[in-house]
Amino acid sequence: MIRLLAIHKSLVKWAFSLKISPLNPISRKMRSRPRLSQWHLLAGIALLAIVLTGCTGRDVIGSARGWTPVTVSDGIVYTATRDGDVLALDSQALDRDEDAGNVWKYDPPKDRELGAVFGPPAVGEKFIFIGSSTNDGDTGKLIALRKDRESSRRIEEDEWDKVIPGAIIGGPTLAQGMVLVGSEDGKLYAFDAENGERIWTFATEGLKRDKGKEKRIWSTPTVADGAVYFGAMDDYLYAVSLDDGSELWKFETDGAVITTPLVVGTKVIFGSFDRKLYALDASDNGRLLWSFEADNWFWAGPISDGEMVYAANMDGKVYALPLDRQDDDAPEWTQKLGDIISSTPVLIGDRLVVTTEGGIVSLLDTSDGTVEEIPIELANKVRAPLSSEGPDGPARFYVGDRNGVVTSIDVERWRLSWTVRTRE
Amino acid sequence: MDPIFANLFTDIWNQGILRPMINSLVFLYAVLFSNMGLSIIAFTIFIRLVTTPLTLRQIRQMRAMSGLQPKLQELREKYKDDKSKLSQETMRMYRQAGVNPLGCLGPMVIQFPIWIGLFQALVQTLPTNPDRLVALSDKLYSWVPFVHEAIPLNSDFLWLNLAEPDPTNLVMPLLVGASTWVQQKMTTSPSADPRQQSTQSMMLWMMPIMLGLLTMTFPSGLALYWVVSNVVGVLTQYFITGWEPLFRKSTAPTAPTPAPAAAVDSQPQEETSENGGTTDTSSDGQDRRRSHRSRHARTRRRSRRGRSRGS
Repeated sequence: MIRLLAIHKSLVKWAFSLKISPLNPISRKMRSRPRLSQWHLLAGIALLAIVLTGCTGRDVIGSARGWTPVTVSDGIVYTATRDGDVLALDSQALDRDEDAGNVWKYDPPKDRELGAVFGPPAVGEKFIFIGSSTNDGDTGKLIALRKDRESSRRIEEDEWDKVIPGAIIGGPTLAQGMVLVGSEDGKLYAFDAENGERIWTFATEGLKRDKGKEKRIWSTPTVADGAVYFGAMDDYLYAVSLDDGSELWKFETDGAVITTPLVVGTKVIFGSFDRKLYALDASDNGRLLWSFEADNWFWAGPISDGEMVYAANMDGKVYALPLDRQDDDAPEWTQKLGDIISSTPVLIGDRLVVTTEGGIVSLLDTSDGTVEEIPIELANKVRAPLSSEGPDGPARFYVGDRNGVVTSIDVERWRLSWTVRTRE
Repeated sequence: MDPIFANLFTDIWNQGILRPMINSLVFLYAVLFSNMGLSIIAFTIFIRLVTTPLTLRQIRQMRAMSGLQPKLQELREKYKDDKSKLSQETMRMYRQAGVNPLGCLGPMVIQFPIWIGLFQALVQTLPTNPDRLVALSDKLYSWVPFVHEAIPLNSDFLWLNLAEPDPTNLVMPLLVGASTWVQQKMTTSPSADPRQQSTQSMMLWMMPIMLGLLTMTFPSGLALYWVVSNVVGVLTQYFITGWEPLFRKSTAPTAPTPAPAAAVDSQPQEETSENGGTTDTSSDGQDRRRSHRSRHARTRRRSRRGRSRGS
């Protein structure tokens, strides 16, 4: 404070030395010149207000353009662009020739605009499903598009879309002819994948208690053994019956749950905003097996190779934890990558690919967590999950960034295979 | 701007203002029944308490400046032909009285970074989309209890969603405008200078109207901050001056007429001092006004004599 006052005093002296004081002879001379009128001052204030409003007003508050999430299936990469289109890209064709890779593009008409897409598309035998947030987050839309469509614009008769009274942030999940999706209105929806008819809905505790925004579901559901597992911002992880949407059990944490749960055998593993990773026993009504505390939120979903769980945290670290660990056990290894991590990593063979928010892609050895290759630096931020064709599939993975660029990286050669800019 | 400096300024802003504000707001939310409205109110009162020394200093400076107006007039008369001497004497008078002419600006200048910081803090702590929530994770201190668990915050308060503008587009803008007007009316000290009077009179209306209009587009959480901050300011002023400044009849500003350079100094001041007692709040104001009138009469006689000699 003393220092501030000293600076203040010297500023006053400086002002007088420059002779800009109203009491100063020079400034008295200046008064005889045409002076700044009140109207000028008025116009200046109004302009400042407009600039401030323009810079920081309503548009900035609600704007969101999506994360260009990708899902690969049989060598075709499906993505929803930040312009509201859906693209199908042939990965092998793109390896040979950039122009040959575009299989089809769905450019919805004005009245069927997609909005912002954050969760990855779900790909089935006949359809792909995409959930989105429309009207600045007020509503959600779930659309079904044919995988093998021939036309880039015409909407096929058996394609459908559903408008939901709450934005869809997580991705949809396919199981037994149903497509499951959570919404910000606090409900989990199950639709018939063929015709879009609603089969059942499940209301979260947050919705029942009317806890405002805490009812939101951002988690992508996981299906295993007839149960659907998903988290919500009311701090619960839910297990509901796939058949009728009835509640099987629920587990309360101390923070919001937005990660996609991982199911390995009877273990359900997920992270929470209370900075903990939890392992529950699904066969024992969600009994807690162990928990592990990190320094920040768990946003990215955990992944497993059957023996270990790999969990990336917003504290910029990747943790390797044995599936059968005890509460007090230290992690098998920890690798600090620096920047926050919100993108779910992928396993390629015995290597783990992790991308930080700043777009740094690292290849880690799953045995000890060492960084194997010099990290690849992408041009933009990455928040959507990475996608691959499984640990035993081709040694490559796909990533969409926040600026609409989809990139394929060859893990064997550790170099970019191709990049496609999806924004016009 | 040099990127190094730009990054430095960004870091100073983020680490020095934004992060402490965000963590304070979230911590208060966690301990005040998970209510963001109460958190903003408590935060505002805390900010006003912290800046109380500055506010009191501002009030003292304004009162002292007001008290010095007659002496300032005398000096202007005495040294009207010696500008540098006038400047020196004025400075000396300020120094002796312990007055800093720019001292009134302190609290106002402090308010601006608070407004901007609070706006950014509100947008970031009440995220409406995943992008903002991701960005928030980087701003929370790991050592402050409850803050990580408290996210996402419930932004509902009374009829408001604090992350968005008032849905009525009327109540909060009116409250902000009215409370700003009352506070300005109570804190503005009358001036002898008609130009300053005119500016004060304009600002008395401009600021409330401008803030009221901004409230229509800004998050209502920021509007709540403005209202609470104004109410605290009004109460502080009440304990110092009572309600008198609120009901003081404002002097109608006289439009400054174009005048020759030599006459600019004396003419409008003469009109003002003759206009009324609002220019002087000291107890011997009447005597001073009388002496001013006689002095100005002498000045007019002298200037008439000068003009007749010149012609």
